[in-house]
Amino acid sequence: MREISVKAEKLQKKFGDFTAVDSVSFEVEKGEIYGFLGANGAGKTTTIRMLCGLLQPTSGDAMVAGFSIKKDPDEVKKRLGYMSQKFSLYPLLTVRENIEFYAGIYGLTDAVIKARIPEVCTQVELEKLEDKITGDMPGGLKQRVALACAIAHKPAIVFLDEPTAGVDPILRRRFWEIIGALSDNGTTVFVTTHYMDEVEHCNRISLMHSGRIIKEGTIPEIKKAAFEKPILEIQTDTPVKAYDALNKVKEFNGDVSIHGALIHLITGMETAGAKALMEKALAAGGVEFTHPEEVEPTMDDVFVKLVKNYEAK
Amino acid sequence: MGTLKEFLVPVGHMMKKEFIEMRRSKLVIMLIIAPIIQAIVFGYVATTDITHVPTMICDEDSSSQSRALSDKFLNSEYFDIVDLTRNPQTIQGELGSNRAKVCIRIPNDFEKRIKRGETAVVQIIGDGTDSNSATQTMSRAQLIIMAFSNNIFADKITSMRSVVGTLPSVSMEERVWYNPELASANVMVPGVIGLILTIVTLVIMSLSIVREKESGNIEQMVVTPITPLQIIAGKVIPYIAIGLADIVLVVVVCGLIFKTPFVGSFLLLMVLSFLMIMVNLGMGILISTVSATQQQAMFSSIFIMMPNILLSGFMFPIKNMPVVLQWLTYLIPMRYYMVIIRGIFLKGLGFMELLPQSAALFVYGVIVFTAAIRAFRKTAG
Repeated sequence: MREISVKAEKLQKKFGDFTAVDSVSFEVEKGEIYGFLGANGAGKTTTIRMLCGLLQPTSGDAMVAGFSIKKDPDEVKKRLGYMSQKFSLYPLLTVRENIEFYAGIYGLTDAVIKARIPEVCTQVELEKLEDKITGDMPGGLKQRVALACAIAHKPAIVFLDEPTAGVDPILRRRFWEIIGALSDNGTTVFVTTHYMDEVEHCNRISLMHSGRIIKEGTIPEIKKAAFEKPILEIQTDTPVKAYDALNKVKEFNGDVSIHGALIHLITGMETAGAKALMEKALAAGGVEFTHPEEVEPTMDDVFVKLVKNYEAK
Repeated sequence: MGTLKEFLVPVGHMMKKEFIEMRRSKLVIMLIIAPIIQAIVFGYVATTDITHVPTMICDEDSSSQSRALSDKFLNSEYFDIVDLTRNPQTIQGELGSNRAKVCIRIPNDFEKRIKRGETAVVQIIGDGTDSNSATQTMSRAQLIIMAFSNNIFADKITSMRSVVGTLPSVSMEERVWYNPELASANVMVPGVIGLILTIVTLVIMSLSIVREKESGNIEQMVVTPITPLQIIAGKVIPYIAIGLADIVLVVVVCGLIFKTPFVGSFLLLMVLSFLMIMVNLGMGILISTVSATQQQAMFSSIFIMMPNILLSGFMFPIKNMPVVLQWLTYLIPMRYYMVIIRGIFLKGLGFMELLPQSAALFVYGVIVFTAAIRAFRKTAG
């Protein structure tokens, strides 16, 4: 059975004349990892701040964990965990004291907190580090302490605002594994990021651009929506020559782009036919090339394409 | 609405965190040791008592009368004789080099004139570069010379009593209440308590909140169910405790070192100091809501503290200020606290006598604190 964890309906936020978030609607299922993707200033953080009760929407409403952010912000606050890119820990406190503090201001009793600390430390892989001073730890571990603080009170939904900013790649991967386990246990995870590669960890994503959601869906769905036909790639020492040669072929009805020594060709044709036509055109132009193959678009490609499509409209 | 316990549990966690941070950041040392050092330094330094003034006597007469006058100076604790000479040429050098701050010059016809029944003149040369001490020193010297003159006069009268009978006279009997030795330490030390309270509460409070704003902790707290009122309570209570503890410390330490009398009610001092602490903490919170960085908060705090020191009567008597500034002092909370703390320390005043000042602080506190909570709600909410 589908259980909806977050449901935004025509959520809008204006700051004076500027509309930061413009009529945004979406649904997030329980246990999903839902990603908000977009450039800085696209409205991601404003949206997340409204969902957390940090900002009141100008119009529209959202249900978070079954409560309206407009009518029952206090009930919403009890049921969510929030982790910002600043991590917001107390550097002079130990890991245990930080967790204790945040659990305490959620109103948990001392007995519950005492039992919860080892549990949550295991969950975020901080065993045996409970009595370390947080300020002395590297960024990647601080990030996990911040996560531990955000989930100590067992929230139904965790909001992660740019959680991996400034953390090294290996620890970032570990962090996503922990997030994966959290979602497997039924916690909904709502994450904003501008690292395109990180989006792959999300079940579903929304692309935000100038206050609006311009595309929503699973990663394959979104890639498909951006590029209906496959992308062909070749490697060559004379990319400009190759570019000219391919652009002459009217039948492609597509797009050629240069990426260093690589040429990307997007056509409106089927793979096999396009490939044959491409090889013919290159041979006619006297271009030598290697590694002809079909490639997946990167999320960067997808993002740029969708924003272009949106602005063309 | 929630029960009292639901309100207090998060506040307790805030306080616990605050105390741990104070301990680990060594701030606690500053909050405990610094006030004691300040009180001691102020007690010694900020004194306006003039004693042991380095003095030279230029006795050109070297007679029994001139020696008798010199002895009066020698026996006074106000004057330390650093040089006794007959040569007036040396005066310039001694005063110029600061070896002596004052010179008593007795001319060579001193005894002769007294014996003849004429007016003998004694010259007092003071160093005007320190005008305040020069004035005080010279009036002290004047007293000694007057007494000497009266003695001569009295001797003469006594010898003539058979002829003129008794003569009427008026004499003054001095009584200084509350601070009989007129010791400035007795006045300064209570004042220092007010100063220390401001530093500990206003400055540290505003810095502490701004630090949490900078680090994003306040924002993090706003997404939890904790209310702005609970956050403020949790931040304020530890500093109230520290402020009151500092008062006890300074009273005890200064009592031991300066023998500062304490004749009033200690309980009353604590209760009224609590009012002053609330005013300061409220100001601290207000500063923190308008400051984005700790530096800004620091500058704003100093800006608030300066008039509190200068216009409160802590150092400069309010009655000596221009009238406009005297009006302005009514806006300075420390002004009321100075009256309260000196009154309790030295005069043993009770609550009824201090009612106007207490009421002023109370009203001030309510206004500032309400404004502070409002401003904090706005920035945090």
